[in-house]
Amino acid sequence: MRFRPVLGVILSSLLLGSAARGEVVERILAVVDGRPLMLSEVRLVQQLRGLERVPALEALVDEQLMLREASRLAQSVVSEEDEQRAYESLLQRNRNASALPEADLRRVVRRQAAILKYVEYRFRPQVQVADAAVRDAYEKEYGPRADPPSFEAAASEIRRQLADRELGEKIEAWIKELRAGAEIRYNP
Amino acid sequence: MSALATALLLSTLPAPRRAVAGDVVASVRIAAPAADVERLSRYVEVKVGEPLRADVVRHVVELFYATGEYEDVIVEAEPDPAGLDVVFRPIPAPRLLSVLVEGTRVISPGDLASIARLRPRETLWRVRLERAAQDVALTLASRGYLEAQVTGSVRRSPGGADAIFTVGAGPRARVRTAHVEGGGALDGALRSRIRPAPGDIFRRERAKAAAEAMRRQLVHSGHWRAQVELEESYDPASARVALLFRAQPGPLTGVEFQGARIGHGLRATVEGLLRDGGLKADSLEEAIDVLEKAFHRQGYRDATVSRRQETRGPREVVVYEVRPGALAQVASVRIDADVSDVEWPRLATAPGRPLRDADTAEDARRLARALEDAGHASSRVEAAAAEGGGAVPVVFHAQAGPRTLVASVRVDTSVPLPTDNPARELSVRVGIPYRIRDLARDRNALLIAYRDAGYAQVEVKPEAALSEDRQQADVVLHVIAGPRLSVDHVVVAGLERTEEQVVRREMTVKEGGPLGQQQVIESQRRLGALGLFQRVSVAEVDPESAGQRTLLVSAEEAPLTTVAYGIGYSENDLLRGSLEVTRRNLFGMDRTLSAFARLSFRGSRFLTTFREPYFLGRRQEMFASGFREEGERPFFDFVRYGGLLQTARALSPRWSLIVRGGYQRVHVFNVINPGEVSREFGNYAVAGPSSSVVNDTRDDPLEPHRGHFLSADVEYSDKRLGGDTFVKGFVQASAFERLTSRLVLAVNARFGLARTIGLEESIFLPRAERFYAGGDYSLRGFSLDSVLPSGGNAVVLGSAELRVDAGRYLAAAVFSDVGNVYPLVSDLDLRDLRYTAGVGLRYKSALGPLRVDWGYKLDRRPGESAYHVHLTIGHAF
Repeated sequence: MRFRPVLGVILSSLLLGSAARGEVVERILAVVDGRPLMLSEVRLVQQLRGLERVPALEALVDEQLMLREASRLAQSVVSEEDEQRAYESLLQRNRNASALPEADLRRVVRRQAAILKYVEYRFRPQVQVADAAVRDAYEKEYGPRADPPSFEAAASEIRRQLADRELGEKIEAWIKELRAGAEIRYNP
Repeated sequence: MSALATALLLSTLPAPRRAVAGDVVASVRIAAPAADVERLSRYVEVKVGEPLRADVVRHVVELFYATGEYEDVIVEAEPDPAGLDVVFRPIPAPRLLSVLVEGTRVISPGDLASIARLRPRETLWRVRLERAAQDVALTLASRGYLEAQVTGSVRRSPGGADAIFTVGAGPRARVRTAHVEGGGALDGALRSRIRPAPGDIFRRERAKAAAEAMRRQLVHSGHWRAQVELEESYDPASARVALLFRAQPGPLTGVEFQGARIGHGLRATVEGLLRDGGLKADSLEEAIDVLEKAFHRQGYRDATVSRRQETRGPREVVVYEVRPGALAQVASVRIDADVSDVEWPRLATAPGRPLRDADTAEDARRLARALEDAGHASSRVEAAAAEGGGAVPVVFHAQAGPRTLVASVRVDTSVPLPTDNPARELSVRVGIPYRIRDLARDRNALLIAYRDAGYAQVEVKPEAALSEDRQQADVVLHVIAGPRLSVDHVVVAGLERTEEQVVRREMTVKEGGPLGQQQVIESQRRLGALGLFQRVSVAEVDPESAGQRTLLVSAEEAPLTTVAYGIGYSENDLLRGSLEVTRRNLFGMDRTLSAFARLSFRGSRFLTTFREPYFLGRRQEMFASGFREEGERPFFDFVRYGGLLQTARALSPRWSLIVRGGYQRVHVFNVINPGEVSREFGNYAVAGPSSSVVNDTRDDPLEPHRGHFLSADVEYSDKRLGGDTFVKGFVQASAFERLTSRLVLAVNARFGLARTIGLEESIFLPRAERFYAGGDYSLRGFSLDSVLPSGGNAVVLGSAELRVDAGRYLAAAVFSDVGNVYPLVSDLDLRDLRYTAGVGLRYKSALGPLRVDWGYKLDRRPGESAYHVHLTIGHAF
């Protein structure tokens, strides 16, 4: 349902591409609460995350909404050290990223670091994984196995995965709430 | 790293597309109308001969979009033998030209636009149209069209877009039946309030208002817990509504007070609180608070109030039981301190006054602050007063502690402020007493100074290390400046008639300069002060970007033409009326043209003024005026016409300099000559410069209570410029001092000297240029201009007035005036003065103080009347 409005984006951009004389190197694909989202930003997300155009645009819309909230919180301020750490981590894990402009990559990691900080500050304290849930997950995962690891050995990893899952659900709900209150316009 | 971070940051890269960025730019073009190209060119940072940079292109698109004029900006790059041809193609946003209504004609386009708050040239995004359609549908429903459906769409046209609203109103609902239920004895009274009545068009707001009126009726009748609910049921088949007003009066209620006498005012306050609060729990508790505080204020320190509710037949009574305790009064006040060199403040606790614990606590805080001011940073003050009532002595025990002086002070920062920055002058200095307040003030001053220099995230941490004996403090202010922000571009949006340079020249924050908070606020203030805009804001477009920010100035222009009119009264003119029409923003350059006309029983005045705010390219106002005036004075009539050029300059926040040059011709006729002054100069001209210096510190020019007003005027007219030759100077000074809350002392002195120049000129000034005395503004025991001789080359005047505020609308005054007018400057003699005194009444009207003054001559001469009564508007000085 989220992708329906952007079907027009795909069709129109194809048509637009055929009407333009030169290659379209930049344009506004969507506007989120008055902030334009650019073709170049969407392409960057596509290249970094291996997404198609429409999912990349939607991911950028979500990111913009989350960033706007995060920027209101003092705890989300990203220091130069935070930015450097995130940038180096990105380059380490994705060697092809070094082919992309450094300024663009730094902007991306700065935004995402701010969002991560906000998420950790606001939602992480709400995540509570009960011991019973860990036990259940252990049984489900390792119960049928012939030689399962001990509960004590597996518990911390299981707890971390359950916490991440719960955190992911909270973030999904948050994004849904942000979208409901936002003014999002897609250009044809 | 968490799974979330991984999901956000990681992926494998697909093969890169054909790269355009990095190729050299051969040409740059904006595909738009010429006027747009001129305006947008300043934002194009793509440079011919340099490699095409994606971040630069993106930034240009953001700047174009920020103007608010475009919904998209398509950037194309076509390879060329010489490099890349880059074209920026802005797509205009759909901006409202007109509103059209289709479908059922139950609402006019103007009415619809007003309901939806659609403004001319507003951008018609889909969400905006949906909201507008919703507002219209709700309004139609409130007018009886309960099935109304409204949809909005956009039709593009040259220069903008039309908003088309398709209205399906459906049938208009009427009231079939309307009943009241549960009203009991008041049923009849409630039924008379039913609205809308059967047969009327159903309007929901009227029905809700009727339900509220019924509730108030019940409350007024003593049912303080009354509720009235409105139920409506609509039958779509017949478009009829049945209304039911379901009343729940609740019991009759009242309030009683026991244990102490409650004054009428306090009783009314508590009753009103309970009645308006519907006897809910919070209003019941708030009433206890109100009662206890009232008794504490009177000196019943231990007063407590409790409540209970009693049912007495059909009535519910809330009983407040007051236990006032003993009344305490301050017998004496003493400060017991271990220091003697402190200036103690005035205290609220004073002998003879009721003893209030809140007052003694506040006084203890005041005394502690006084000790801190003297450098006793760790002082403590406690108030001691015996429990109980009667005459209670109060002692403030003050332990000052050691007196700490500042031994050293230093600002620790890697980013020093400029040498002329006022924040470099700190309040904390070596040798003065150490005060935490000074430290806080310096911290704030540094924060403001660094923020103004572009360091938005600056932190200032004060640190004070005290010596062992606590007599010395070493103060360090640690400044962590953080990154510096500068202004990349200033984008102006929303202008239709105004030239962009009118906005840019008022901005104190400049492109390329630091992003200072105070400059942003000052820029917004200056733009608002132009009077050209209904709304104006300055905001950052990209608040999360590092280093450089783009500022967006959004303005909504105000109407160009204003009309002002008024009526007034003066002793000479009697009743007079005025009309002024002003046309602003001529040619889009903040120029103003105004036409003013004033007519009265004794004269007229017409004035046309053109204002140029930036004279010769500098921020300097210049006024060019043409005028014609005719009037009747007691001893002559005149017609005057001419032109004037005037400019003003603020020398400081309180000092202004006004410089004029003008030419006027004056015809004087119907001259009566009761004195010894020549009747020459029937017609004359004045041509030459004049200047005024003004210093004004009054708190209110119309009704001053403190401050002063000083002015000095000098005028020179010269034959070589076409006028008669004379020089004239006038100085006046007024001072105002509030003696008590209702008493203001006002004093004034005026001094004027003039002389003609040249042997061929008469020694007396032209009749209409002479000084006069007597009237509602000077020597009030005389009528207008009647101090003899009538008109002269010199005048001395002085006044003292005691103004008494007698209420919201009335004031009174006692005054004394002294002065005289002299034929020539050489005749000036301070032993030859006239004296008057009197009383007056003022009515504080919307036009200013309406004044009646009765002035009595203290040195009446033969042939003179004893007194004169003046009726006019405005103070004498």
